[in-house]
Amino acid sequence: MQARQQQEHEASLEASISAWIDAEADIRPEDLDTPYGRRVWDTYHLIGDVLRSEDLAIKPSDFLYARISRAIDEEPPIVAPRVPPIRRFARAGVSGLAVAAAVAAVAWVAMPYFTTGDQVVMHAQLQAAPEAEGLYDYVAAHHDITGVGPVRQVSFEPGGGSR
Amino acid sequence: MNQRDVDAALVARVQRGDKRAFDLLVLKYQRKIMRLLSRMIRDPSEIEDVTQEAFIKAYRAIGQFRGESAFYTWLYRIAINTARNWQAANGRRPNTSSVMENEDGETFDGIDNLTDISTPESMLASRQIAETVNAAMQALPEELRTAILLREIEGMSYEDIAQSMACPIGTVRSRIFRAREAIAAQLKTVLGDDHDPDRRW
Repeated sequence: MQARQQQEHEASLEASISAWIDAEADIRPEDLDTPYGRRVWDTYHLIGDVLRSEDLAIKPSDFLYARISRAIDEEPPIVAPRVPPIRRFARAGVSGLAVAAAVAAVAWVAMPYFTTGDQVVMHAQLQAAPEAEGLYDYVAAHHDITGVGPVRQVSFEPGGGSR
Repeated sequence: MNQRDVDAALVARVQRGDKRAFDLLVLKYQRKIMRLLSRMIRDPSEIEDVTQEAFIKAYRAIGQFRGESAFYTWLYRIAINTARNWQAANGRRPNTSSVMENEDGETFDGIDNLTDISTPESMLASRQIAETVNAAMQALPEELRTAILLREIEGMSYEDIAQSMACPIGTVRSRIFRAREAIAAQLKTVLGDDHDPDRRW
């Protein structure tokens, strides 16, 4: 009974391997992680290779596969696709720069709403400065035209006027 | 789904730490890599050493494989570079004049024969394998032989084979599997101890 179940399982596994090799079903590598599964996988590929080219009727010497498998076992496992360090840093730098730019833009736009008192002082400073007096008159003359939109208001802040 | 997808699925497993998935890629491509390297390395005893080194290098680099090319094309490049490094390290003159490559990374030349991997034992084994496969193919029922030829030689999908042979896809799947099983049964005696699970696997 147990032997019969084993035979049925193997026949089913072989049929699955045949379909996996032909990409006609989603492969389940864990089902091939047995000596029998690997042997069937290898033999079916050998048959395909030989049918396509007799030059591939190659019998590797004893234990080539086992040697490679052992050598791979001694390698550290790969747990994720590796990203070159420089690209990782570049990505972090770009992200940081984007955050800083966003904060600066918000502060630049919102600042006039929180600096009414300072503006009075700055206006006074401008009026007190002889060389800026003409410039202030020029800006004041355009105040009505430009309106009070936040961006335009910023455009005649002292920083802009001193240029 | 195609062959590239099968390889991609196995590569993805390896990239997540599944070393046994890499074993399946080794088994799938070891003959093609040995055949390729046999054109660059004259000493048959060294071909398997370089083959092993090429696969280990491929494993170490597989984290960087992004699938822009087919896995075999990528592996082929690594094998070529490994062989060239081996030649340089051992002071050997490159022997690549007869190697040509198509866009899929397949190699071919005008003097292909079975003598490159040329110990008397390996030549005998190669001849026996080829003869056994050919004899088993001739012994197959016509519908099984046609099905596996359309798949392995023409590269047709099961759906196309089903249309060509005017039968359901399930029948195609069964015919190809039965053909492989019949040929594999004949190969068991030729492959001998190497295919003893307790020894090799």
